[in-house]
Amino acid sequence: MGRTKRALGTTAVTAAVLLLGACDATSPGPADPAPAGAPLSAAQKATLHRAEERLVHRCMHDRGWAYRETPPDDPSARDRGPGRSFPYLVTDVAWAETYGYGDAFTPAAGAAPDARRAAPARTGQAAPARPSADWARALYGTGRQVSVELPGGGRLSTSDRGCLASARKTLYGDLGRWFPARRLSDNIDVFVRQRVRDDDDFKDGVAAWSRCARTRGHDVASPGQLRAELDRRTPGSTPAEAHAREVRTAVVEATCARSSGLARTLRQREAYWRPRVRDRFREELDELVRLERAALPEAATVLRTPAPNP
Amino acid sequence: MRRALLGTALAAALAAAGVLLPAATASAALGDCPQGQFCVWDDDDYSGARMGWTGSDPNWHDNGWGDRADSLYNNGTPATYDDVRVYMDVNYVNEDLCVVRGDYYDWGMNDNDYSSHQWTASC
Repeated sequence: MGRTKRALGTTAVTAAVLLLGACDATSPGPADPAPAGAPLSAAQKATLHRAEERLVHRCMHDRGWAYRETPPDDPSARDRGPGRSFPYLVTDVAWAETYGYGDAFTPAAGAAPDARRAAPARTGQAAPARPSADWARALYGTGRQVSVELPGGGRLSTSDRGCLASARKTLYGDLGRWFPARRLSDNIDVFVRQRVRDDDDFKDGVAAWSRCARTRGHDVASPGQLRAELDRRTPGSTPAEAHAREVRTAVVEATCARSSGLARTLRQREAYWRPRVRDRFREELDELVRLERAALPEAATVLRTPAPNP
Repeated sequence: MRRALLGTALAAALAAAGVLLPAATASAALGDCPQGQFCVWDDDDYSGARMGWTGSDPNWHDNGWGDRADSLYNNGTPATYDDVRVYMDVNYVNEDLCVVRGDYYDWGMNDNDYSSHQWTASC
């Protein structure tokens, strides 16, 4: 079952490699696209986000659904407070002393930490038979899809229909060009970290980190094993005791990351791999900048019209 | 030497990526994932047994889903935390993918892949 699907995936990979080879043989050509220019600023990205949300809102409203526009993500907020995310291990001792592992280690909650969810609701009076499923279908669409293949053979897809797809088409034109470029860009950090983790330097660094953790009373081979120790915490401890233990553990993780040199190794190996990974996807990343820059005037127009009344 | 080999492997692995695949029709089974949830399935093409979460889960093994899923879908409700980071190991170690709401993913996962996930503000 899974084997057949994977075999299909391999065929697609082979075809993709052949296509790329053919491209290499003919480039550079006179039809080279215009230079992409500088990456979009945070303010420009926020404008695109707001315009996409406004278009989705209008589309949902036209189909009889309520929708609440979500504000743009604040990138600077990500690096503050308990929500800060460390891709390999905690490397900031002061942060660990305050937050332990922060939000990243909060046990499975009933819902995402968010009170701003847009609840699915019909505008007007008539309630549909299956409000949430129909609402999600109107938003995300069904049927035809666009896909992009990621390194490793995975296929990331999204619907070509629905209010979200329609909003993106209004802004960027061809979803088949924007979606692959956008998703490769979204996952560049992930690709870089995958390469870093495969490095011998990373493995040596984790071994050095592990020796440090052992001198501090934790017989573990990796940060993952150290965190797993917290899973086995003694039942019946108070929340304050549990938090104190989490903080002590996270502080060991961060202190050893610095003293063992692992934190420095991570910075160096990321600096080595990032330009190489970006170079591989240069074409798509440039395409993304072109498409998103070209969408800015339309986004400004969209935002000049107010949101539909609820 | 090792690094040169890895460089070659990277080139090979990345050469295959980034290609727009032919238009296809999404599996109807995606509609089985309740609105607001991040869903995973036992098999490719969003088929077989399904598991879904509205929140984050640092250890899929606790409910029998560690190293098991073959396809996944972020059917999250638009909100501040509506994208999903997926990790190879428990406790959010070794991120392997970030999935924007409305997106779904298959083909790339083997049974021994993912074991935790976390809602995040953006990919």
